[in-house]
Amino acid sequence: MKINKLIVKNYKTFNNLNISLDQFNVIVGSNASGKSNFLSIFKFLKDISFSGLENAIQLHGGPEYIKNINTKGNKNLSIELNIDFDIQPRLVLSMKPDDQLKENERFEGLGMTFKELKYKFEISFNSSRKYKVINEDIKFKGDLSKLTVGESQKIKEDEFHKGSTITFSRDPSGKVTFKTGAIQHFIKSMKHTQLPILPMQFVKVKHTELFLLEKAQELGLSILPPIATTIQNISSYDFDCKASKTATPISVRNTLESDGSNLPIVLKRVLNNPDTKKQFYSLIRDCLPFIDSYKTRPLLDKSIMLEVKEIYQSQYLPSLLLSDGTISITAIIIALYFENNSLIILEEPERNVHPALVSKVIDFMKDVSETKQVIISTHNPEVVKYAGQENIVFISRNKKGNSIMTAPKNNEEIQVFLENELGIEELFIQNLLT
Amino acid sequence: MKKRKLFILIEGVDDKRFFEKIIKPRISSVYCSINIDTSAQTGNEKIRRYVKSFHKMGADYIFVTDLDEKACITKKKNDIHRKFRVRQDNIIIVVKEIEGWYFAGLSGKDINKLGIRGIINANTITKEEFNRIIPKQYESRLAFLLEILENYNIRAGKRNNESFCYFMNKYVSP
Repeated sequence: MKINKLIVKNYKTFNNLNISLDQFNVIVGSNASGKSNFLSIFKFLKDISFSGLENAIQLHGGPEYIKNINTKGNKNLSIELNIDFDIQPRLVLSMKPDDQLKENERFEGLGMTFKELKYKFEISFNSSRKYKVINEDIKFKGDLSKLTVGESQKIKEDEFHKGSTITFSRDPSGKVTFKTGAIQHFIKSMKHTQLPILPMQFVKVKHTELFLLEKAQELGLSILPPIATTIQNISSYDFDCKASKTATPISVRNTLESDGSNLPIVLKRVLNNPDTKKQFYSLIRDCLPFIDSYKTRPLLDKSIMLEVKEIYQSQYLPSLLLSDGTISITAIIIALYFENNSLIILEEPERNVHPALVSKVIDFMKDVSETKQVIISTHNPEVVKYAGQENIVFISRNKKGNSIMTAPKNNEEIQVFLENELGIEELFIQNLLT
Repeated sequence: MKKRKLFILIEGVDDKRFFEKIIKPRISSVYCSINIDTSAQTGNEKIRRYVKSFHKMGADYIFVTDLDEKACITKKKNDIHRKFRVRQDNIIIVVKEIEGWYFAGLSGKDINKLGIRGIINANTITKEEFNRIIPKQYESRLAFLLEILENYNIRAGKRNNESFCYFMNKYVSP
């Protein structure tokens, strides 16, 4: 999955953001330019899908701080995202009843291969800190095929209509409508049974809920690619090395926490599997060749501590004595390669990394971005230097204090500087990437 | 008409503070953006590349440099043109150093209030002389510079320093 477009209005420091995203995205900007606010858009969506809209708004500071404070009046907050499916979900939408099948046919159905998804919602606020969902839409786009299974048991697929859509829309009153466009026509003409989707007139939606992100599966819409699962597969990290160095209670999740505080538990899981263990050591030694091995040591208080042996010593050192850089790089490798996620967000990942190693860490990210989408934020010129100008998105504040984002690759003046052999990191230092 | 970008190449951090605080707000309505970049840590070759880029993109730019020990503005301008290929008309010579522009913004009343003694000429003051007159009540040189910027008197500045007056008349307002 790839989020290829994001349109955001009236959110934190953003008044009107419209940005295209690639597989690898490096958000660069000075202090207080809005980098963290940009990354928090993804966290906000994830919080909605896990905890509901009301809690998510509260987790992000409440109605008065989630909105753009520069905006006068009660302007609506809206978020829209376009997602491309890399592994395209395929569904049988309808089928012909058995008694209408020809003699040599065992099955005939209408299949849809989903190519992209567009999700949008809009929230209004009133002066008494109350909010209301104004609308929520999800549009699936894909290609239709006629599916048949003959005597050979093989599914034969004949694509016959591109760009079909399935849309769910919810209006300000909470009424949900469901549109299938051309699909319904094909179902009728092929004498198929109807789409197995819950009739929308029975759906009651609260005005404080985003039903497609919070409730879709409960409402029986799980036959469609779920937006909530897609959003929940976003992993966002802002590592706190001090937290990663301390012992971790054994009764915590074994997926990496956003601050990396359960690194010992996650590393134990990685080292317990011979395949992941081998991969992990080759990656970490590529960056830190002095690493001999890691182990985790159980402590009496039902916690475990990470220990590392360097090639210079014969004994293991407790993680408290390790450098912040070693811990950071370990956590970055785990987050990139050994977690089940489709979009990885890393906030200033190079924070404790020596400049000479930044190129390798960036190379890991580029490598992973072949299969997963990666977004990082930074204000480090070394990261800018190695990221490649095609992957950089520059963020700054305009005269009104709103964050704006621009891609240097689309800026003619920046291209002139680059043609004259001024490096992209030099332009960043001189504040010329605007 | 579409507003243009302005690039200002200045020497050091003190120059940057001065241009950010005193000059930029007064010309910001004319340009869509103003970049003030220091050239102090930038090698000669890089400066040449910047200037070449400004020329290629047809951008507005100003190259600001101190007169220092060079006796003559014309000679300094010729040197800069030869060294970096900067067009003569885009060069501004600060006489003698940026401290002169700072000091020029103090009115006679301010000078008395600060207890600065002696006759000091903003056209000839050097960095060392400026450092010697910093009133004792300031914890540091920087604290004094920031105080001047907070209370900068443009009329006094133009009156007291010829090169600042020339710059203001050329780029800000006659």
